[in-house]
Amino acid sequence: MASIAVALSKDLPNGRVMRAIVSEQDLVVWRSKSGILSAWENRCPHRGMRLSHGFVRGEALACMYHGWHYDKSATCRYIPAHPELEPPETIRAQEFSSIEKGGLIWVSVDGSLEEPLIDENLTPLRSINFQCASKTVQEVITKSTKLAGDTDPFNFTTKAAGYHHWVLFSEKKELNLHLFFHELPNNACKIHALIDKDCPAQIQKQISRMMESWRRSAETDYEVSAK
Amino acid sequence: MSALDHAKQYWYPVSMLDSIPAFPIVKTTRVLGMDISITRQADGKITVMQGDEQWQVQEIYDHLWTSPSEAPKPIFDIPEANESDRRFVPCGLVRVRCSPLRAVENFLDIAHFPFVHTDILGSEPHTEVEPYSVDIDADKDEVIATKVKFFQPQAAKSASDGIITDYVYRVPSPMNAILYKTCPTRDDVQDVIAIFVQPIDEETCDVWPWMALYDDDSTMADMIEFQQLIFLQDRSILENQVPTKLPLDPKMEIPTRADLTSIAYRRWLKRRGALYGALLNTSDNSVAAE
Amino acid sequence: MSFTLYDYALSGNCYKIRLFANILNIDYERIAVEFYPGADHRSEKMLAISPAGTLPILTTDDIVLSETSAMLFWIARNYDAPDHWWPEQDLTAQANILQWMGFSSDLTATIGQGRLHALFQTPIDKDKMIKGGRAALRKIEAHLSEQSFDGCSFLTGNKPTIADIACFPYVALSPDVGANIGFDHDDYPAIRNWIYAMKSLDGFIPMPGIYAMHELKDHEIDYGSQKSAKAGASK
Repeated sequence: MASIAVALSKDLPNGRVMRAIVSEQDLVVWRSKSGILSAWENRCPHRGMRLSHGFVRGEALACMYHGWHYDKSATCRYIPAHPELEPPETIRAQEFSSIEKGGLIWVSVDGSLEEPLIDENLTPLRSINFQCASKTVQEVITKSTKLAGDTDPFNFTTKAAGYHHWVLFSEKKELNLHLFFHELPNNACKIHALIDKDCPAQIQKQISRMMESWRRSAETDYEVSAK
Repeated sequence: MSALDHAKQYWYPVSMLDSIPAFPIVKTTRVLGMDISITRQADGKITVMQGDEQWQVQEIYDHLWTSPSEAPKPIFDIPEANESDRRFVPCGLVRVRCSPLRAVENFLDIAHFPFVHTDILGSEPHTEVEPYSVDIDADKDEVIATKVKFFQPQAAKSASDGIITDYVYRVPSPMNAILYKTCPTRDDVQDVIAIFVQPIDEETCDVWPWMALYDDDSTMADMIEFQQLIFLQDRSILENQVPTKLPLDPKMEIPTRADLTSIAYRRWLKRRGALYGALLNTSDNSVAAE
Repeated sequence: MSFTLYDYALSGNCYKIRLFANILNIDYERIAVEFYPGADHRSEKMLAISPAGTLPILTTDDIVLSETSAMLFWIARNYDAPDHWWPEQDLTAQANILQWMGFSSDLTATIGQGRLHALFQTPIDKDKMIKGGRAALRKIEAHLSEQSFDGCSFLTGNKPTIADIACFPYVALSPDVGANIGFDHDDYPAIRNWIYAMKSLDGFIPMPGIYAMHELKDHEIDYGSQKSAKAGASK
């Protein structure tokens, strides 16, 4: 399995923490005050608390439960209950590889970290959640691009349709819309969407609403076929 | 003996006494994965039925307790419940999606006060946990933690500076815990706070906090609200511990000296086979995303 | 004393008023009412004060309010310098604020009710609550995303208004309702960023389920000179 895009870079500013799930692996993804990115198992080795509820102090991630601090190497460096104690090096969170490219945060949970082949100059739009599998969403996108006529403001055509990465091209607006599919447990998925050039807020809103419309269709299709 | 059979030997709280509806309204709830119905009969007597089977009941500590066993172990004693000058404060239930044992263990922990109960029960930089003692009371077979001290910023409304609060903890049965803490208004007595945990199943529980306080000033609403506020802060933690069940294998979760009570509690559970809501082996360790 | 607030610490609606009063640094009298388990808000004594039978209640000698949107408006007009939380001269902004104040009652009816059920096992139509709550979260997520395209961090612009105060509590409290029902903030990056912006406001206070901003406290550990950190951890 390759690297999976788990979020738009802009949605994780410096000093912030989020949760991501890749292939059933629960992850905390966080960025230190100076901007260093990390992805670890979402579990404090002390009492099992999800580290994604924690908080960033400088270059460390602290667990919300007892404030144990972990540095960028995932090693526990400070236990507030014992301020004088130097914690044993063995107390560490499990690390996974993460990388940032093209406005996206990528994580790999199987040890490999292929450099994603992606244009460096994408403009992030938004990440959007679906309560159905990405295959269902992809079918809806295919259907809706075929149905879109000349009156459609974009009239997107599918330029590339890989397993995780689709590119839709709009000749009218001269832009590429990049969709990165992120499969989640329990038949859910996310799309992380980016555009290949700066465009006015109005166009960004139109694309955002178009994705909302895909979701309405995809989740209806999903509900019907699930019955 | 299976974990469930072991758990069946104990008494469990299933309602506050004063919220059992009048005849003929039936109140339903769940204990150890079994649905039960609670009825106040026309003559005022309270019965608990699980299907066709009638369970034993007793009314104590302001709650209705029941047990699936025909000969349950005697319920633990709280001598302070007989001190008539205390105010007894049952606080209702709070549903938590965690093992009943995780709820008890969190109640025994003080190191989380500065981060979870910030500016109430603790605050940075006063995070240090001084050494304290933990024993097993041989007569009662209870876990007892003594000489527990912690700095509290607002132990009393009137206090402008923080005070060092003393705690004693008791675990008289696997799903109940009692603490004794410095009473802000009197030097000669201690306040009593307990949690009685109703195991809905191994990964869900209803927690019934109960207090026996010396407090002549606060309204009932104030006292209940304070306890609910504290417990709701804990709830956000308890619903995010992975795995949901309490791991008894020390390799799975790393303790420190501040966790002596928790270590003793986990060992005590393991020794007596109180495994309902517990994970015994690392191989059971399922920490994948839900 | 400015006003009296009949309050319940666990209520997201009551928290709106406590939060806003704290942000504006207003002193007021607080009276705790036992919402649960006693249901004292529906006692004869409380109904005599406010027939609505809900919490919070804001009273002065002249006024009794039971709707939080009305309270936020009343507080903003009384205590805030104009042009901030209720932009006095800006009709468009006012209309947008009223839109989101209205929407905030959808949050109470779905997430608020779902949370009461999750905490206290109060009866509820669970499917309807989950569908409604998810729809509400998606609506606010989509709007906040669109706001971000315009470079705005809050619901109606670049500054917070009483609309943000009105919507914040039940959005922030949604994980209390349950896991795997689409109420976790992990699904909503724009909401996550907005919550962070709200928690960063001067005068922000937490409530159970909404943590304090520990990251803003000045206890950073400098690993190069851990001694200085230790000196701070006095006994």
